[in-house]
Amino acid sequence: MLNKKRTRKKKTFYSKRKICRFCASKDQQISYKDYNTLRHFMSERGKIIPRRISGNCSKHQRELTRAIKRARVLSIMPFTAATV
Amino acid sequence: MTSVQEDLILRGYELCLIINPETADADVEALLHDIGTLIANRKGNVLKHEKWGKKNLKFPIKKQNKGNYCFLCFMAEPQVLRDIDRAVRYNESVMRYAVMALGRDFSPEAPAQEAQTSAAAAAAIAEEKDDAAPEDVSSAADA
Repeated sequence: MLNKKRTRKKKTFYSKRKICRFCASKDQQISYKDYNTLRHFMSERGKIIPRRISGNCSKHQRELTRAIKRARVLSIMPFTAATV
Repeated sequence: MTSVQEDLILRGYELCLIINPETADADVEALLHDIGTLIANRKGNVLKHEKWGKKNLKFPIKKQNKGNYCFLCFMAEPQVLRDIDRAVRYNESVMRYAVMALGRDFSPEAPAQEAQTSAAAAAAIAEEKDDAAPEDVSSAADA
């Protein structure tokens, strides 16, 4: 009986912690010129993907947002999806 | 002499230019050369050029869908930025520009350091063989 109760209590949400890909591979640099890397952290709408979804650490997310915003000014990245 | 060296604080910057694709290549070269001389006049030095050529813009700038991207990496005093700003702002062929400060961990001597370490390694190898050799290596590295 005790065991059953315990198993019931243990039913909790549990999510796999994603690993920051820039921490995982140190040679991967964040640059505002590197469209192909920044592209992965932007939604189809042109929004920056939040940390809780991309799994980046706060340090790299900060670098990434800065890079994306710089790239936007230089028309390397879009501000929004092209409106047609 | 040392005080002069202390006064001169060089920082790493990167200038990005988006030039109108309709401007002639010679004009682009002239502009880059002018900026280079501006930096050199202030005792700075240009580390590298980067040219992407004509690329599609993600959104039109000044009714242009393409832009000629040029990047200029340089070490200079912060005052140089004012000169560059003036030169670039009033140039009508430049559609957009931005100056990025390279981080503090940026080291312009990175290739030089590599050369030094290789020279040091060579010196270390030479030391094992001959005592007189390392002096020659160090003098060659300085030159």
